[in-house]
Amino acid sequence: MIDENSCASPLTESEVTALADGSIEVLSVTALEHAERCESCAARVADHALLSISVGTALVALASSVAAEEKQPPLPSRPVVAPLALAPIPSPTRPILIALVVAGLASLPLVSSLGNSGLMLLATGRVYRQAAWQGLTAVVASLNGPIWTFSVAVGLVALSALVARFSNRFSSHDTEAPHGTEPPHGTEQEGALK
Amino acid sequence: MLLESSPGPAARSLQNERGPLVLSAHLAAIRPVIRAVVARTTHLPLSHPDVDEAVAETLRRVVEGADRVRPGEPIGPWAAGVARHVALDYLRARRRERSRLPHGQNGGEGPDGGDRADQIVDPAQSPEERTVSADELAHVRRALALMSEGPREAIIAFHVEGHSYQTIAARFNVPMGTVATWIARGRKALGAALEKKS
Repeated sequence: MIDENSCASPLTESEVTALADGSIEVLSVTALEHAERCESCAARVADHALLSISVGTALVALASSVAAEEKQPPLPSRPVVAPLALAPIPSPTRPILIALVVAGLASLPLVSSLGNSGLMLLATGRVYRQAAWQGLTAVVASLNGPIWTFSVAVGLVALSALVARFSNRFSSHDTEAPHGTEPPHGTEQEGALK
Repeated sequence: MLLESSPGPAARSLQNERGPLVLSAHLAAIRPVIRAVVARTTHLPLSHPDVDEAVAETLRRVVEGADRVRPGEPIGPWAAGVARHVALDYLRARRRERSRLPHGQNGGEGPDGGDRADQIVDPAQSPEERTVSADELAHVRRALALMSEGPREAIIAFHVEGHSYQTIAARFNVPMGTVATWIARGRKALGAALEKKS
């Protein structure tokens, strides 16, 4: 059994350390010879060498950990790209202007018939207004008079509606443009916008 | 000496990587610690022939495996680790040998008449195979912070930067004995920090 306390002149702690690290230049020849012979000092050297392995492993791991921490880029204080909700919405001015120009160009063939269309619109509106007035008059009269008065009023309203309808259709035929010059309403503009 | 007469390719690379050092002197420096670790691990006396055999085997592996030493890594602790592996291999071989022999023919090997190999519990992890946990790193970092500047700088220079005692002494303009004292003190503190965790 090794008696680790049997050494009369044990190596100092620094000598044991130097021996465990293989740095024998620190030690005297006497100390080296003692270490070769003394079981208890050799045991201390061995323990210290094994401790040195553990400590070295831990220190290298710590150094790697610190190096990895330093390599990590700092977190940005604010996002580089603004969130979608906060992003500025581009103004659609340019597309709107283009659309207006295209619509204007497309409506150029209709400029010549603009006067007829306006007159037709006024006439149609007048007819509808008269029909509505007559209908209202008939309803009011029927509330106070006999049944025939009411029937006449209904008839007048129906007649007014018919007149207004046929008047609109006849006006359309009168103002029809020559073949190939009248664009279908809306179609060309929609196509241009597309 | 085996290693002095014909250094193989690995030995030559050891010489090349570590500069114009004298290989025999380098191995002579680590021989005492190798012997101590082998004797300690096998629980055999220093003068036992098997210790000599294991020391020779360790030195052979050190020379052949010198390429595996990281640049700047101190060779002393690495050689101690190799010695420990060799000693554990020796113990396993002895155990297998004993298990093959009939009962009563194995004889005594240890100084007290018993085979010490049977009394050794093979540890699961060697010190260099242990992984260092985050807790252990925190303990080591704290212990380093509490250390005075000399021991802290010396132990980092030795273990992390791979400088020799001589270089560290020159850097801090102190005797090599002081460097040894600093390293001993620092290592003791770090060892206590690691033990606290485990």
